[in-house]
Amino acid sequence: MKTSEILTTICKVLFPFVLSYGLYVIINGHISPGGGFQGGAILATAILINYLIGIHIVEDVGLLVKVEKYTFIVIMLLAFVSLFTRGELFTNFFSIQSSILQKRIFLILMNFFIGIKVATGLIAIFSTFIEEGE
Amino acid sequence: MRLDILLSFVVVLIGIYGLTISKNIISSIISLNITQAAVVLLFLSVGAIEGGEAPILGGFTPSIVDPIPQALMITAIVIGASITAMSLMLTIKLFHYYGTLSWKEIIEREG
Amino acid sequence: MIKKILVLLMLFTILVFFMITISDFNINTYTKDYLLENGYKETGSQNLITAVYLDYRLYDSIFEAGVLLVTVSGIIFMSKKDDEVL
Repeated sequence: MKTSEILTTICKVLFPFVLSYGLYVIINGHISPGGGFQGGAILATAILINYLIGIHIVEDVGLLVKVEKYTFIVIMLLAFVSLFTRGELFTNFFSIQSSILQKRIFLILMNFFIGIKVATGLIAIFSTFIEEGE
Repeated sequence: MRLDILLSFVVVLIGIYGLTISKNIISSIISLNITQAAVVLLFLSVGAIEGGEAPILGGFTPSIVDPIPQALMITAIVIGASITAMSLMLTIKLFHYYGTLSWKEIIEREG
Repeated sequence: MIKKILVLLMLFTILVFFMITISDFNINTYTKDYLLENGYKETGSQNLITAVYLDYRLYDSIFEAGVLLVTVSGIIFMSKKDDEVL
């Protein structure tokens, strides 16, 4: 079936805006509504919009899974750092007396990596289903 | 008596009823999703108060809803999506092997 | 037909017990008050939900991300086997 011109144009116009909105939701997750999981889902939607107009944007699913694995390892290591600096597991790695701006560094880093991980996971799931259907 | 909590529990029971009587695999998965969404609704209505705002500091009113059920439900939503994707892939494999989606036929053919 | 009636009866019993349970239901607000007072100072996040799932309950969200990873690898493993029930 031939895709219509209107759908193609709208998807191409919408793609960068949805991408930047997803990044905004991820980075501002500690001030405004949002966070890693929600922003990751928006990022995945921005990538997957290309399947509507017939562009196969994902060539290799194995690469996506590799990215997701290494991001998960980075998240685990970031959470383990607090064992050495603060003495307890799985919390912020700055001490509890440090200023609010310092504590926000941990939140932004964690939100960013969780967003990347959720986005790659959802894209991998969806493109596997697309491959299965063909 | 909180009527909203009771109503969301009724939706949970509707999902369980659909799970017990469904004859098709796809409708079982849909019933599972209904149950999951109703559990999310139940948790959110436990934490809600009348006139409460979203739990973000810097607003105008000091009355906010409880943030802990909302933070728990983020986890529940992502895990529900994972379960749905996994069961749909298993369903595709079953359909390729047996050629049908009915529970009864699959159980009969398996013996 | 008799099966459906029995299932409905069972679910109605569960509903009645749930109604008895929540008849004296009141919510304590200790954790909410604590978070409203100390959450911003202790974690540095204005969004209290982010404060809960990235600081107080980070254990939870890390392993939830792990569940997503396991799901993705399971789906890819199943899709590579052609026409064969595992």
